[in-house]
Amino acid sequence: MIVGIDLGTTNSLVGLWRDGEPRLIPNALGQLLTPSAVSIDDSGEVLVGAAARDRLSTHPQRTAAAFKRYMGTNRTLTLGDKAFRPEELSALVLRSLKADAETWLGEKIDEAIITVPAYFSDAQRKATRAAGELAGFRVDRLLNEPTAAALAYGLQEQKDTRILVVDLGGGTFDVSILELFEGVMEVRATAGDNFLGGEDFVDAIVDAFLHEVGGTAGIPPRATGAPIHGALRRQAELAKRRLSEAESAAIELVHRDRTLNWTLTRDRFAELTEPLMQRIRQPIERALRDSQIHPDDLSHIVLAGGATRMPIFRRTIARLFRRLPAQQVSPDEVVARGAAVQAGLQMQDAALKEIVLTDVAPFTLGVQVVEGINRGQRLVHDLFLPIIERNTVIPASRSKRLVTLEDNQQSLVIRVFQGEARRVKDNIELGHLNVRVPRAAAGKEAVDCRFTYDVNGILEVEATVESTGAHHRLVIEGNPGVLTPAEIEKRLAALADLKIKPRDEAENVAALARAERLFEEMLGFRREKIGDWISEFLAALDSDDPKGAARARAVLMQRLDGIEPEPFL
Amino acid sequence: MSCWQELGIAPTIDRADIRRAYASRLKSIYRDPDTLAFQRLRAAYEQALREAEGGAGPPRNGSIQVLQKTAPDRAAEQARAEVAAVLARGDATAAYSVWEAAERRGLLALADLAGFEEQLLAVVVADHVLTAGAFARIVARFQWDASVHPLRRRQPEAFRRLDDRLDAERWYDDLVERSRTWRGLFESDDRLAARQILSGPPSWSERHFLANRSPALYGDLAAVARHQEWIGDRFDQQRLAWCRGPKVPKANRNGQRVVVWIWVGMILFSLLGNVTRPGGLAVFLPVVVLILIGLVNALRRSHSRRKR
Repeated sequence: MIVGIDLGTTNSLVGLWRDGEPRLIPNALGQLLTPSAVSIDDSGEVLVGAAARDRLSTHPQRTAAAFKRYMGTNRTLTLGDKAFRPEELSALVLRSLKADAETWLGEKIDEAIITVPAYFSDAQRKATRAAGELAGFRVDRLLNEPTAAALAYGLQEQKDTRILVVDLGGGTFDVSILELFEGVMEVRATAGDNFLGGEDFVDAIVDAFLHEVGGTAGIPPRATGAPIHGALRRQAELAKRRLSEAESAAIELVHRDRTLNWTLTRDRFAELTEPLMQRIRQPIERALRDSQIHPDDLSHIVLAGGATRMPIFRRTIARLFRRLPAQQVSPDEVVARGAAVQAGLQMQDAALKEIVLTDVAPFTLGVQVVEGINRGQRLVHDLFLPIIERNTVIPASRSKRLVTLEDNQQSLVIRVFQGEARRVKDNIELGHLNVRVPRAAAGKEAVDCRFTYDVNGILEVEATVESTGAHHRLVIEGNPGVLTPAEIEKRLAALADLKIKPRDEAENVAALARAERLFEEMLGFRREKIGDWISEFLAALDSDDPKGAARARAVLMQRLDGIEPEPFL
Repeated sequence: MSCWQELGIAPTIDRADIRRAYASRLKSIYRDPDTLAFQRLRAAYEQALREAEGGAGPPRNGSIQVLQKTAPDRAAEQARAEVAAVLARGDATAAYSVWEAAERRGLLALADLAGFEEQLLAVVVADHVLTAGAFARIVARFQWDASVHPLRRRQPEAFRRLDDRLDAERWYDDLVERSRTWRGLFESDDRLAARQILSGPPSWSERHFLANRSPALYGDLAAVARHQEWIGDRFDQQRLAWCRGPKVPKANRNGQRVVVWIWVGMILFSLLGNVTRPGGLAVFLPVVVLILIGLVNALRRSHSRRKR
């Protein structure tokens, strides 16, 4: 059995193909969305999901969230006394999803399709694959999120369609243009911004709050990471969601036994997020330009990612395209549903008519060259020569001929870059290759440089000296953000030592975490009340009576709902 | 093997036929991990589509006039007319700001962009009064500085000029940066050269400084000449002439010589008195060292001049 997993910055989902349709699997709490948060409790047990997210405000030092933003970097996050790489935290989330799916299905699952933002780089993709392996999956394929979203929509269509997917997730922004014809789903162009997402909109609210109220109330600045910011972020997140329905939203924050009130209107919010909305436009323009499809020729505009619920986002999109985006499928679920469809395709399910998916390279790959202008009279140094251009259909293999620059030159350094700028200085260097050539006059010796890019986004560079036929090969390694197979083995052993909170306790733990969070957020009479309820609930848990505990939990949740009516998901 | 054989159909200009053939071939090969077959098929498909188009440009060449049809909105139509009028004047800064304002008010959509971009490019590469800041903003907005840009293929000549200006701007920024940073203990030739050619008309007291010519200075002067078209007006011509000038005027050099000889005379005179004392010759040692340094310097300078 293969499952499809949407591993998001804020929330993750798991789904599979069953009875001719994509099905999403609920977690231990009965919810489809599992927050991508990990926490370690005082006894050293690992909590994942809603409980961990609630502990973000009560135990910020022992909890991590939004770690997808650090995938592919060397950064470690410290929870309590243990340090984790972002891959490992993602692996813990994936493990919890795996356990949910195995319980629901009643059989073992060892293969998965994991979605990644289309604009993820080589290192970020490798990190995601490593996370899947650490969680005990064989990662069949990394599927681009916008492609997945289009799969969830595209299958209902019979005739030729062109779909533009705008995916604004928690931490990444992606745009893809896809064309479906004759059972071929072809990605025409992809563009994006790896550091723009719903979290940035929350940050904008937090910053405005700190600027207007925080200074006088004595809240330390954001960089200090004081515990109060966990609660503030939560409030800001809630306000952002409330603004999708209401004209204004209030933020209530308890700080040093005082309640701070602040009201945010829609207009003010639009003003605060204007710079972020500006950044949305450029990737869309670029994708349209690259695909050479006129905006009026698009048959659908599909929104994916929870942040696309924001009215200001929808208004901007409607204005850009002069029409309303499609919204038959919930933007939170559309990517996971698409991943489930892909899982079905992979298993060659009979209910699916055959669909072939072709994807593109998201970045341009090339080498550094010196170019002669006016028949070599003037040399321009450090230019970037693209070999595989962005949005080339993959797998692809292209080559260019490079010649020597000086008389009696003995070797040629091929430096490999990824990026779009005309100067190599502004692009990212992936590695370099030293090629020895026989001595000859300038321009007489040539090297044939071939780039091969496979379906999973792995690059291979090959250089052949034309006169001698000598081969050189570059395997891009040594990137500090990427784990080697040996390291993965080591980390796997380390993760096996971690104690995971048993699944059947998940509901109790989540209820307790929520009550504790509310205890910190409330004041006076209500705080006392919550304190009493917590002791009551703990007493019921200690009595070793599973039925009694379930009853006590239901009562507690009901009481908490009375205090905090809106569910946070 | 022609692309038509690879696709398994007779040559045609019908895009639908080509796509159908491609799709059916693709389905038969994609289960195998045979990437070479896929790459061959893909190349054939792209070639066939190009041939079907008969070498004509891309299917849509949306100019602003064409797009006006689809919009019933009066305000939007007016905004478009305004943009077209400013573009026709050839003023890139004004055209871009009118466009940006209309876009911000929501009058123009993505559909209007395609034609505008191409026309703006033509205006930008012909506009010599466009300031560096406005140029940088426009280039960044449309990502014209990228090495892969769909317009690059269609407008090679405009992009050649654009790259030229980009190079000029980059070199100028470098120069300014260079004139500001110290590296190491002594002033390097690079920094000196940058300071020599950068500011306004030379003052009298500065002329010696300008006459101190190094290979770096001649390199920079050549670069100024090369980028004359775009950044020539940012330099003071009189100053450049001074830097380039073959010789420092006689009067100055004579004055210099007189001063030097007076100093030498005074030193020798004071030293001569010491020679008669025991061990007095030792005081000449520093003088010998100084003379040697002077000699080496003179040799180096004459060498570099010959090289030029």
